[in-house]
Amino acid sequence: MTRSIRSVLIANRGEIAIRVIKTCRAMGIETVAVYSEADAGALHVREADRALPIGPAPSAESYLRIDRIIHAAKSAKVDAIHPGYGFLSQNGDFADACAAAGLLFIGPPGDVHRLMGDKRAARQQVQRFGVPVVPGYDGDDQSNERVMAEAKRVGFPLMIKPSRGGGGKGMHVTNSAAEFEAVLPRARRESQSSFGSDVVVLERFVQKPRHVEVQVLFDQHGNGVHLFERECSVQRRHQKVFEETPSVALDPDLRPRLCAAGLAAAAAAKYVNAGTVEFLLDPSGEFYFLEMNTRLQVEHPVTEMTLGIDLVRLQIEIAEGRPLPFSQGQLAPRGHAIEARLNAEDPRHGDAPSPGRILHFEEPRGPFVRCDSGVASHSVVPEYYDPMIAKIIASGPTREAARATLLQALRDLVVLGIATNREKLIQVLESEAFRSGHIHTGVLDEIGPLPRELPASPQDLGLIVAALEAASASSRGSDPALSAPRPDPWAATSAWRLS
Amino acid sequence: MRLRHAGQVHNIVRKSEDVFEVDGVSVGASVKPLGAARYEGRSAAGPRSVFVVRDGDHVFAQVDGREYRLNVVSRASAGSGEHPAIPGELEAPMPGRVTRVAVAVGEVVKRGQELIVVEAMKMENALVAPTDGVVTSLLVKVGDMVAPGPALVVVEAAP
Repeated sequence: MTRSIRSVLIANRGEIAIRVIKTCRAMGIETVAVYSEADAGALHVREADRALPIGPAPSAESYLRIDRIIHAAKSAKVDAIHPGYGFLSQNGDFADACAAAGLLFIGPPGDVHRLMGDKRAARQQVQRFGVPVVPGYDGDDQSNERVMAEAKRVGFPLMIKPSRGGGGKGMHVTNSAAEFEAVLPRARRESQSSFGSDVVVLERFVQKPRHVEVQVLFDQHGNGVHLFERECSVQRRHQKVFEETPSVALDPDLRPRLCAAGLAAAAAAKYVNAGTVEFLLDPSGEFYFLEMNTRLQVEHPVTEMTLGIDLVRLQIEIAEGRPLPFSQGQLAPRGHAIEARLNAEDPRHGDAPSPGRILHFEEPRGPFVRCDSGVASHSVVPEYYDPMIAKIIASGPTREAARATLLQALRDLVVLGIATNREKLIQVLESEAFRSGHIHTGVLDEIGPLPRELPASPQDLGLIVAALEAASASSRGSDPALSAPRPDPWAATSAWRLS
Repeated sequence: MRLRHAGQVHNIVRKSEDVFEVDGVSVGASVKPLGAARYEGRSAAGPRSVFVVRDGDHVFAQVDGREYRLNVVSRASAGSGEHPAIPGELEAPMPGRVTRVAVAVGEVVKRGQELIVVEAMKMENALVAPTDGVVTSLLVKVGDMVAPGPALVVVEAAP
């Protein structure tokens, strides 16, 4: 039985809200955005057909408020809700609340979120279906004494992870029993404040692992396919920075085994809609189930680029009850795609977040370049949310072609007014480690910090002053289009003070 | 015009329509405005893609992919330079909220000991003691909004 979706509320913000809006528009579906007080002027609000406020800036009072989002969806009379990623996207209660309100949730049902969202239950479940997991402790006895004893049994280095976590937040690597004892209280605090539970799981920390994940897609009729792998090994503190497909680490023997394990893990959860099964791949070729993300991933575009599919469209069609439009045998990826995440952060100051007003933003263009942005010139990046402001994706017939195209795109990208990791992304793409494909989750430490800033080039200084003089001459003149933006109350105030 | 970049102050003087003297050296440079912070630049080395925005005394620029953050230096302050950071004064690494204050004034602390935690964008950032010493000043409490610049806590090194 199918039910057509004519309107969708997007329970998210930033680039992913805009990404979903674009597919909806192409499908003739009406879009409704929601926004916090900090996002009243945000790009996703302007891009949607309609937009509704859902509360104050902190996400706990807006983007995480199930009641307010359901209320907005009902008053806008939409057919469905797309949760994006982050926020409520993996919240089973939210999926249930949508169903109870007669709204289609574009994602798996609540019990699937709860099963895979509980790291311990997920490990135990996929193990029953023959999917390998990392050695560790995921027991019910969470007393500090027992957890300490288990840490010593599994051995160091050891990872502490929030049982209900996701996206790499709140994870800590410890190298000794003493360090473990010192870090455990902080890990529990972070887990409690970010995920509402201080239950932790322990996992052997695999040295120099690669992070390879499998995209899966299941319709409501029990048909499932995998959409091959993505390699997301280039990470900083467990946050992905670059993602690509295919993975250079997989050969024709390993790829089908890993993809089959991904499909098996999803089937073990009776999965529906788009999801991703994450694995650690150690240098010997052994792989272990890490977790399943029960939502669309940030890095989904690389899969779209090599398979020529629109994952958001497929998500919507699955939610409508339609069968998958292809079988496994019909899926054949072509070429290579790489994504870089642009963050509002300062790589020269310890990657500190750099919220504020963007004075000028220029997306790169060109063949085989895609830019999914959540901002534009004059956007304010609030301090309250994730620092990622855009994703730049490039594809090509080979990895080297995609790398060269992405490198040029990052050189063409312009973000003025706030610090970003743009130069860091360029440094990584130019590094021998990335170029050769010898990447692992610690590769950024090997590549090292940005080199000390070179003295300004005299020629560049001449050009900059020539431009400043031209701007002030024209602002005294008659053509306001060519004048530099005047200081205004928004520009004069740091974003963090706006609360 | 005087611009500070990476700790150095540069003196840039226009000599003619397309020549500037930068720190005493002549360079050819001219631009054609293309609208909204974009300029077509011409230098002796060839065409350059130039983006420049000014916000008060801050200048943000990108020239052929190279990013510049500069400050306009007024005549009055040109000689003074930037005041050096005082050792032991710890400032916020980023704008955020103080979520924990782990020490009190007068407390003896060890190098590396956690003093204050600032949370922003869902990340905890601990300010730790730079040396063994004593907390001589504590300027924030839990819940305060803070930003880089002013000291939040001062640790005086043990003699």
